[in-house]
Amino acid sequence: MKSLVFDTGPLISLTMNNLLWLIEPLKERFKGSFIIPQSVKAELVDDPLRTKRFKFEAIQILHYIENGVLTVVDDRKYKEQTLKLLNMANSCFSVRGRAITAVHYGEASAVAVAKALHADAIAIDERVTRELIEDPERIGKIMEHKLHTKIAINRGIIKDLKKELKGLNILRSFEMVTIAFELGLLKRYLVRGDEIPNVRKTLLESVLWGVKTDGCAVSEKEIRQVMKLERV
Amino acid sequence: MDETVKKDILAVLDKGRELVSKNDSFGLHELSNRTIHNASIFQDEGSIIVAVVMYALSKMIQRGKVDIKTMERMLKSAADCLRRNEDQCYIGAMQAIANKIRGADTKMGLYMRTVIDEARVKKGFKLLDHGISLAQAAKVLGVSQWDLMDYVGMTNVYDETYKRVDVKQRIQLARRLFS
Repeated sequence: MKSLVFDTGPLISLTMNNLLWLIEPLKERFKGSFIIPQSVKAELVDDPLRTKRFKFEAIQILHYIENGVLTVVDDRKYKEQTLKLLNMANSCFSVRGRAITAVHYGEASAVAVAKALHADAIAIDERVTRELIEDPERIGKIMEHKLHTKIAINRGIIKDLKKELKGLNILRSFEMVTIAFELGLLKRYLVRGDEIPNVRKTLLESVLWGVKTDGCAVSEKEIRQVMKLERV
Repeated sequence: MDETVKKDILAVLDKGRELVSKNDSFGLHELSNRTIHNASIFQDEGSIIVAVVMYALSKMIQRGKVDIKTMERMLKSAADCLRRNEDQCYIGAMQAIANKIRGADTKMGLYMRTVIDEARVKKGFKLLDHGISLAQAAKVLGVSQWDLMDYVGMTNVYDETYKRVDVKQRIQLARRLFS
């Protein structure tokens, strides 16, 4: 069974851009499950429901859980795998003998669930977890540069981590809105009239900047690359 | 508390008192980043709270909302706790300062983000900038990921990162998954 496991970030950035509705038509095309671990649901829905801010955003996500577009999995089933990954991730880098806690349980849980389910991809917007999957040494370099101190990198653990996470594909909300554009899912926003000279180009640029300014770890350079790729 | 961390916090508290007495908002803003390196490494409450409080004080001084003498006294009290190696006393003293700031701030409007909340989000961003994940930075600073993503997106932190996987490859993956 095809599956896409979500971390919190992509659902936050889609919601903040009034694009959460995209997950329904995207799921139809995906022909599989959209999974969120319980710990991710807690951050997305349960916690904001107890506050004033982001409460309506939480309700919007809850709607898609209740109508079955998003499936919540009990990540307690994957606790052992999560703790193993978490321990590895948080042992990669140290300063003065002190290991740096780089990653949170929720993020490790999303990765563990994705691995356990042999997910087709994990949807994750934040940079550190993504880099730990794709290029863990890079995080050490960032830390060294920003902390102005020598970071001890445990190459043995990094090697094991790479082996453990090999083959895990990553998708961001950035790629989701791009594909939504390609599939014509955003055509309702192709407004007529002469207020916008190149409406397709403006629409694509606006949604790409939208997810970036709502926290998706994507660079300006990547936005330019996609604009070129899409030939708008 | 780690000795290096304690030494750094004491230096910040002593400097903080001096800057508060001079109404130096800019100096306090700069000072608030002094313990962020330790906060990123140790993720300890001591380093975090002093960074948050110094930032908040810088903002409140800008707005002319600080009782200078009271703040100097409270900062001295916090430093004295630390010198006596009473870590919980220090945390309590700093939380009292944060509550004092919050009290002065909420008179401005119930639903605005308070200066303390703003400080937490901004320091959360600093942790993220230092290579700590979004969820972990949010947890350490006691803010939601919603708040942190909302703020982080407006910065250029992600423009500095080299990416191993080209965006074209990611789009091709998306096409395979959804077409």
